[in-house]
Amino acid sequence: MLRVAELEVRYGEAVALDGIDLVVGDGEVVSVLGPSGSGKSTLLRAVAGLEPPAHGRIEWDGHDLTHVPPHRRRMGLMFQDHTLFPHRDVVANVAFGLRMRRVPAERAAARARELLVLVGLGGYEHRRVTELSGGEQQRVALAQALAPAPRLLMLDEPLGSLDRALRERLMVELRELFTRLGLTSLYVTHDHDEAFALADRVAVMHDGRIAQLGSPVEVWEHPANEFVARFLGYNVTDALGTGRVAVRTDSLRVEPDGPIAGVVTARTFRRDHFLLEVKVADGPALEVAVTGDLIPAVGDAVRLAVDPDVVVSLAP
Amino acid sequence: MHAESSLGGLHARIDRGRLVRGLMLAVPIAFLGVFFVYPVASIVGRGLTPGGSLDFSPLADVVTDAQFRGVAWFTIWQATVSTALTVLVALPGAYVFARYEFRGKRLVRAAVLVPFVLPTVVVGSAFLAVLGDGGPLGFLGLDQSLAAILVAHVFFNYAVVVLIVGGLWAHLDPRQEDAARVLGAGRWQTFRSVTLPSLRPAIAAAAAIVFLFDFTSFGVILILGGPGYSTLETEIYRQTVQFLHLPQAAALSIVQMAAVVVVLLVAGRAQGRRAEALRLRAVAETSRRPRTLGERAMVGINLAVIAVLLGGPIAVLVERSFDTAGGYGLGFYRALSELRRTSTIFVPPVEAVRNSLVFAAAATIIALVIGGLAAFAIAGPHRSPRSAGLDTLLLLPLGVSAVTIGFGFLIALDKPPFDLRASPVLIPIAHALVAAPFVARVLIPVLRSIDQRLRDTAAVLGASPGRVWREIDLPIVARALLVAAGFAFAISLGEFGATIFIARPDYPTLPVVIFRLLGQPGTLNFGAAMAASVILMAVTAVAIFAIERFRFADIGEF
Amino acid sequence: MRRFHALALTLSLLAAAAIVAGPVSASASAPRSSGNTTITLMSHDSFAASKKVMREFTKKTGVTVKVLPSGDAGAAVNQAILTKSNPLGDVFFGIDNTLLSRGLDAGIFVPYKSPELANISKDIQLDPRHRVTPVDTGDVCVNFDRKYFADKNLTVPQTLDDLAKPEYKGLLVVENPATSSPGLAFLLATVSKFGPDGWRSYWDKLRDNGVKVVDGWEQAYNTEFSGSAGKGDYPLVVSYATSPPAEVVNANPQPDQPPTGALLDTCFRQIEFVGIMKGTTHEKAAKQLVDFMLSDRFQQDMPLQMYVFPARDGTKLPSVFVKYAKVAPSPFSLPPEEIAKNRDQWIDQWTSTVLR
Repeated sequence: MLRVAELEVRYGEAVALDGIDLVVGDGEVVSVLGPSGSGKSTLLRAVAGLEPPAHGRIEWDGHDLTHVPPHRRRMGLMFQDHTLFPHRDVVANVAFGLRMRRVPAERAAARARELLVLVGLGGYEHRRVTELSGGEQQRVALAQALAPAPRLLMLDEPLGSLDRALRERLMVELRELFTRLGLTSLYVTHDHDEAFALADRVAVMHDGRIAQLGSPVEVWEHPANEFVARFLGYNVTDALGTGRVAVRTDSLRVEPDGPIAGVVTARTFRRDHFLLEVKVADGPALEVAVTGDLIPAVGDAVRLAVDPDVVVSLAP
Repeated sequence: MHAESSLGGLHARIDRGRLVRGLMLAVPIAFLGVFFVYPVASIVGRGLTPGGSLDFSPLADVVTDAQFRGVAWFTIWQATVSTALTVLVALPGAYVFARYEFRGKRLVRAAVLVPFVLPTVVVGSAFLAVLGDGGPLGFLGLDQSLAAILVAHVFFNYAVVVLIVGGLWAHLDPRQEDAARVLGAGRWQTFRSVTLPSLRPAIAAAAAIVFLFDFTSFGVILILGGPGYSTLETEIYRQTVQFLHLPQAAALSIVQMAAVVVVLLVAGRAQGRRAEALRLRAVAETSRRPRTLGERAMVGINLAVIAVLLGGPIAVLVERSFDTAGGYGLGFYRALSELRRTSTIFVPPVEAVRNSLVFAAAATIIALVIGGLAAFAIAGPHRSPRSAGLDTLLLLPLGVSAVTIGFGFLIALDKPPFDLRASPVLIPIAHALVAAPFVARVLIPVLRSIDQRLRDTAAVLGASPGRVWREIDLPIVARALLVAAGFAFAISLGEFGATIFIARPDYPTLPVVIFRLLGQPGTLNFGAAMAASVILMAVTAVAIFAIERFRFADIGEF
Repeated sequence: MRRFHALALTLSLLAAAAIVAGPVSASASAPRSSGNTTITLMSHDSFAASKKVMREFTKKTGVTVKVLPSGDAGAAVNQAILTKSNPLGDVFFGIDNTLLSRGLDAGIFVPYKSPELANISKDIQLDPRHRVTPVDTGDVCVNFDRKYFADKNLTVPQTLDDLAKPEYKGLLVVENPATSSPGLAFLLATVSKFGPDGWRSYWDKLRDNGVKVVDGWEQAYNTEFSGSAGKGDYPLVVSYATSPPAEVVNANPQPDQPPTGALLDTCFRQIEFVGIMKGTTHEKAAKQLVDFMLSDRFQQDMPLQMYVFPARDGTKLPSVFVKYAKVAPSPFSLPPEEIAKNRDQWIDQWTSTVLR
């Protein structure tokens, strides 16, 4: 079990992590979600031992790891890209961590082959890593991180550089892998779909702090504050007359006698719906997801109604 | 109790990092301090205190003297033009070596370093055979001209650009260039926008070294330029060796160093401190046989340039070494072991080769240690923010007159534990002063291009800091390290710089043999000197070839 | 990685060899010691003697001589001056009359009146206090290419004035006196001949007559001169009176007659001296070496080792010297003090007359 307490990391004067408290239970996948610059990668680096903390503790099963150097933490870390050793072939890359732990060469090679099969790259042993496609490189990187059986696997935007279709396929595979291997994992991403799909719990980060921590459903349905709500794509508005609230784009409907009047200022096609941008009388524009045959055009005056069950009140 | 132990651990960790970094900085700084700063400060200090107290009037005289200012100006601009020419001529060569495979490539790579070891007086005679009044190119009127100086500078320094720039180029991913071209960029545009920015640190490094060599060039100016040209270096030589005017020499040395520091700072700025990390690829993946006619022509033209520019003068020397009075034969080679056999001045050729190799090996080791540590301190994972100054300090010996350093040794290193004036140890040290900046300059661009996240990944996978160095940095820079070792070896074999001006105990090397033979009249002496030069070239080519062949088995040829 | 270690190992072994093998060449070039004193002879790079002769000295005196070559004559003298507080050697050989005053003024020598001086001409004993002792003399003269003049049916020039004549236009190559010792000697010859007021106009004429200037003797003689190995374009060169016999000795097959000759009316006489260095702790051995260098044995050996004439009267010359090495009957000379006083200025004036 990983426990992070009051963790603080500074880069000179700048505070990158400002009092992080986080627990990851055995076999749990926690996703760290946030925009770039929110400190989520720094959190991974600090847990891995690559950034010295200015304050706070990092523990594993009650043992203090705060000042243990990275190579003795027995963790795995996988970056978005650039992590494979260009001077070694595929199997040597995967077996690297085993070699560092003095696993005999033959056993290491055998385990590396197993893992390559696991990530779907059986037979790639002696390819050069620089010859592989982006998706293949990420599979090798995953095998590399998994090979020494880390007690905690950390992934930093592992799918960030891949195209959408590949990303979605790998997401499914990863989910399966996490379950099958019972991995304890910290998964950093800026994509909430990815976070919700993979994680048992989600930590949303903002300015070096955890803004909200909870299950994907909790976070999605009850964003804790305005920042989280906006980051998840909610409308934040005072226009409903119920104080400051967050409302999802699909909770707003175009209705002839809806209570809110507005004008459509933009219209975007989104596969299974249209997204309208509607300028309302007071407050910023609202985003509304619309389906059906009659889609208002830009310039049309519309009235909007809201499903009261899914309006989230935000603390002032 | 927890808090206490963690505090202690924190200190231990920080102190260890500091210690490692401190040591990496301390060793090169101590070396340069003892063997460069202290000797140069001593000789300059003596020059500035003629009556026992500081007197800056010679400096003022020198700076305000119009004729002298002309000399300083000529020094700078001939070095600038020579450097630009060298880079222009050698950059296509670097490209060809980086991107194409062809027969005998390794041999040619080793051979381009050969000019590096040849004494200027020997090369001068070969150049004059071609460019002189009666030579095949005599009609060009290049003898004793600025053009001859420039051509000779390109001849000597071609290898610097080809090997330093080509070394990094061979690791760059050609697919990036392909991608740019697919996007519609022309060849030139692709080079400018994709390749050049990646190569910039290597080009800057090579250009800085070439500039310093041209800046302090001595033999080329005197022999090929003729007595009509003078530079700071020849003036310092004149004032020190001929006139023993130490105040003037000190003033000139100060001006020379100031100019070098200014140039290095400007170059450093142009280079940009933060080189971006590159996706490095194995060398074997980035080169292939030339396919199209254009590619073949590219390779052919560059090999032709090498053949004419480097091969021409070398061929003249080889031809002369066989051209005896009784027709072509080995007479001059035999003369090497027969001439003046009974004299104290006689050196068996085998012994000269052995002495040369031993000094070169010692100098190479010193240079690799000093230059390697400096490079890691400047560009490695524990890089120190204050190491930028070391970068400049390290290059400075290349930009300071060999006479100043040599005479500085004499008056500074005369007390134990450093009474090395007449010790053979001083010779590899003097060579290493010149070779260490090479080593550092060859390694730095490659080190800077290593993505820090590779080291992080290795660390998380269980590699200790030492192991990270051994598993990541070393294999990736290994090829550059070998190139650097080749340079260091060649520099030492060729007896550059300061060693000409230090008293040397009698361990004659090949260049010493060549000088001794050339110093005596008689066709046999001259022919034997040519034969010794050819042996020196052969020893160099074989040594460099052997060094380049040392690949690291378990990594393949990265 | 294994091969990489192999490289490191090879380099280390070579370095270790350097340390262990130590004086590999010292044993070859210096005689092995039977006594217990070793003294250092600091010299220019051209010092040479027969190994046998040096061994005899060691056998006779128990003193081993270690030679420390220290660059050309000028560099060696300057090194000796700079290190006088902690000298590099016990005996210094190779300071000549053009550099003598600098060495004497710097006080790097201690006086020693060798008993062998009785055999040496008073004319060349330039220091009355005997801080230095003459060992050899050599004449710097214009040399000519016999074949060129024979082929062209051209009379060989004889005097300095001849060299400025139009029929010899573009035939002479000289060394820069600022960087070359024979170059300086030739400049001093012209100063001696034409006087402090006349020499510059002589050089004006030489310049107008197409004199070529190069940096050093090696380049002038080996590359530009047509009479020797380099087969250059200039049949007249400033070299030594002993160069013609060297052309005979150092050729294979040896010719009956040297391909070159010296113009004996153009010569400046260089005298090389030896001196005991102030601060030596082996004064007795140093004196023994000086005596030995003046002895008949060493003096007879010298001509073919360094191509100089012995300073000792009545020394038997090698036959090739007798046949081909002419001694200038009345060479030019200048007092060392006058050279010391004016040489920098003369060189500067020469530079602006000839080069600028």
